[in-house]
Amino acid sequence: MSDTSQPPVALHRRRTGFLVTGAAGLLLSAVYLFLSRDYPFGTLDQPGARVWPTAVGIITALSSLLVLLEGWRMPAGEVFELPSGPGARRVVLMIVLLVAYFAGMAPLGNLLASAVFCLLFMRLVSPLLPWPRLAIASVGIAAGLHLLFVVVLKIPMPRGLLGF
Amino acid sequence: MDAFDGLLHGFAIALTAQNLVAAFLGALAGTLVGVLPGLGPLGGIALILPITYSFDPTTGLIAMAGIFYGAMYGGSTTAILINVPGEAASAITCLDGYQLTRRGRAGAALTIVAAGSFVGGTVAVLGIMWLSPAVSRAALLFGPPEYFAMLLGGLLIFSRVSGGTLAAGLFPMAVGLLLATVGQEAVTGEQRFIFGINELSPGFTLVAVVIGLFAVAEMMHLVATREQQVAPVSVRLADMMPTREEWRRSVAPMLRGTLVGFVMGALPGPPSAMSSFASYRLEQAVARHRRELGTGAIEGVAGPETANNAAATATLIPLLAMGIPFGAITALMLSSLMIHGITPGPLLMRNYPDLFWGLVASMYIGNVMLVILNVPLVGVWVSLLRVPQYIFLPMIVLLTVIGAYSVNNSMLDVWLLPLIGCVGYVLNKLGFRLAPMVIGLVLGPLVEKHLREALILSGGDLGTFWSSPVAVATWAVVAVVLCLGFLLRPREVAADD
Repeated sequence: MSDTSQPPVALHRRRTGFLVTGAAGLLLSAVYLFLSRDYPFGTLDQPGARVWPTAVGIITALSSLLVLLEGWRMPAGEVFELPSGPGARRVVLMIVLLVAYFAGMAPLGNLLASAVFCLLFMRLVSPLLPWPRLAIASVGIAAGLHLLFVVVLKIPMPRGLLGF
Repeated sequence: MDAFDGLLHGFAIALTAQNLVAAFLGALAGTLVGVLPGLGPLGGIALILPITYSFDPTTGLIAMAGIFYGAMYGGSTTAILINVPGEAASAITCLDGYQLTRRGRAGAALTIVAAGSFVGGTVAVLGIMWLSPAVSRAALLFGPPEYFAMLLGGLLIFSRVSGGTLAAGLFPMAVGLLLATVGQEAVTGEQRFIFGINELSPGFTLVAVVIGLFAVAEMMHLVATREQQVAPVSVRLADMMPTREEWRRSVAPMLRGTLVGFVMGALPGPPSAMSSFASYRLEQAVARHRRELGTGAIEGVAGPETANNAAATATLIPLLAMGIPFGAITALMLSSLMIHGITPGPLLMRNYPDLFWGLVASMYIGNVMLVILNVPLVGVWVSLLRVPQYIFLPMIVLLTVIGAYSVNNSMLDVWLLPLIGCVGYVLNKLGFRLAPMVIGLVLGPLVEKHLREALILSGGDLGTFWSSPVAVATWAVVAVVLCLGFLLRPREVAADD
């Protein structure tokens, strides 16, 4: 099912995760309820645009309190896994690559940006494979998907300064 | 028109070249999505959904339904061959399916799955045919208070039965409802929470959220762990035929699985995953060879796989007849129909007979296609499992970008992917269920619309929400389910359908 070596992960207390999530949810609901004051509440027979957000804000706050309660009552021994070391570095690099890819779509266009992203992402996933092989594969994937979606199915992906 | 005339009319629609191709491509894409571990049916459908926007609504819906039940079938292939479920509903199939593979009966198990999926899917289509008109007629009696009760009640029940703790389902649902309030609201058209960003005016794009939560988060997991699939065994066509004994032992589990799947599919909840687990439990209780379950009993494959296909089909009843999606995938279908300006509900059959009956007929055809696609071509699917990760992963990432961008031609949706992916990744690691967030996002605007309409029509009388038997019964069921949620800790049924 998986490779022989265990992936590098760090164990964290699930209780802490729940408490942080619940607190973030409470903060979110408070900010949301505060912002919803900008809209008219109306009356019961003519309810305005604020009625439902108020209800949703309260539901979010209550469910956040429930998360906090469950976290509070959770045994300290319960843990959850997050990647650490090389695994975490790869995830961060993946996000950095995605951000660079999206930022590069406007000047480079979908095709070129996709090919460059593919190349770097492949290298991230399989660092031992030679660059020429990755380059051929990345161009093939980017061009193949561009052909299918942009040329055949006419999905208008962003064009770059070079016009494609 | 009655059911028989409707079906004949449906076949005339479904047998057009365009719709046949849609059913075939849908079943093919669904099987592919199901076979490739990591990309579940929800993420897979979200990726492919934008393509269907360019079709007419009937063709698009036929393709989407094909993807859905194709994924249900495809998920079992990896469960049986490499002990990795392609989607949550096939998790239970690993128990006996992989044991059968180790005993050299992989081919027979795959054939039994194909037969069971065909039986479950086809019988469930019959159920849709006969039940949907009656449900539609009943739904015509519903007004805004009843719809409000059904929608909010269904939402709460779904979040409760999705597995995990009470908060694990309710919190993501609340976040989904919150996200759904961003953008132009349905009753007066007022813009809310868009902070001057015009691209937020239509609200958060469902496809981008689903792709972020499921596909991108899964990519992050695969990149972090660099999990490699074990090489699947080769399956020869000659090994595909089950023995007479295996056929005999599979018949009753298939029939029981059909019943379990059909009933659970028509109710709120993650129908496919829950029905396959329920079917396995039922086999453990009543099967003649129940002591062999877990060691490679064919009943452990036949029952659950039949049930999840029946459930996948039956889940279309509340969507088509009432306009209420009780699952995340049907919620995606609802959003797709609404993009075409079609609101499913009691009048769908009358106003759009081509769409309803065309879909029903196409499902018969699609189930036949699935058998043809999956039994003789199992070798092709197996070979897909050998595609190296460095090819597979970037391809999926590129597809996620195309999928997210193409809905509104908006880069904002693309930028949301990593953000939502990170949120989904962490919440998933913590044990929160993500499907309720999707349901909240889809149903939120409908709940608000019916809430405000009910208040306006009743002159502000809050008693309108429990003034009818339907509303009272719905609230009672919700109260019972939520109270039980405090008392019982449900089994872990992680599902995104």
